[in-house]
Amino acid sequence: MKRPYETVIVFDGTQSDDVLHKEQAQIEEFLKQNASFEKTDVWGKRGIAYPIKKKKLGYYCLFLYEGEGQVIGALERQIKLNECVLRHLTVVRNVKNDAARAAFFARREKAIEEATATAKASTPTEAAGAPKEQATEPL
Amino acid sequence: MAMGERRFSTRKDRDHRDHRDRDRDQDRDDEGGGRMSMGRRRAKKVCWFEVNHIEPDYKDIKLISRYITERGKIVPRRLSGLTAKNQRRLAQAVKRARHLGLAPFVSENMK
Repeated sequence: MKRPYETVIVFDGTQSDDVLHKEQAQIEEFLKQNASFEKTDVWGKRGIAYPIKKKKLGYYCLFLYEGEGQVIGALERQIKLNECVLRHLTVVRNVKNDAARAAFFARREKAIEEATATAKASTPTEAAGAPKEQATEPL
Repeated sequence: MAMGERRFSTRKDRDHRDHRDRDRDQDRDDEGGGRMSMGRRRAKKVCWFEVNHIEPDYKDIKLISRYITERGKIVPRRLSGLTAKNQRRLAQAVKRARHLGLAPFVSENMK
């Protein structure tokens, strides 16, 4: 049965861009051959929260694809052979949640736009301050 | 011995007052939290994820990090206000994020 999966791979961020792109392409190639590859969401280089193998920089890639269960085993073997990989995680994608999140952020964007539009239109007193903003919640 | 009598003698038996009438507020050793003059509690915290129809996602560190302390610990449910289900999902998301290096396991701020 084909299931939608997502795999996050953290490559060694200290490598050159060429090497990183090559590694990324290798994984994509593998997925194109063995599963229905959808796309890669590249988060790029970012600091890791704690040193992994003494490195503090990682190159994050999120691969989205669909395939049979056996694909995962083969992919993992491929990943483990690669010395550039620091961490990886494969998960069955939660498509419902992805859609819900997209809808939520779309609504929030719209609300912020509307809020700023009304703030500009009205007299320049205190701005509405994005009333629908739910990001901050002091704990 | 009469049929209705208990065989064991407890302190409550010896004490002539009915133990059910004890002043329960005196029992607690915590201070405050007893009878307050206002009698109103802080508004019951709602689960943010339920309200917005989303589930916690390990990839969304911005959202996840609202539920971890300065030291990197996961906020307990009595403070986060999440439902049991979402608290479990959140915990799993945080652990995954930690594995991927997106969130710390421990972060002691240098003083």
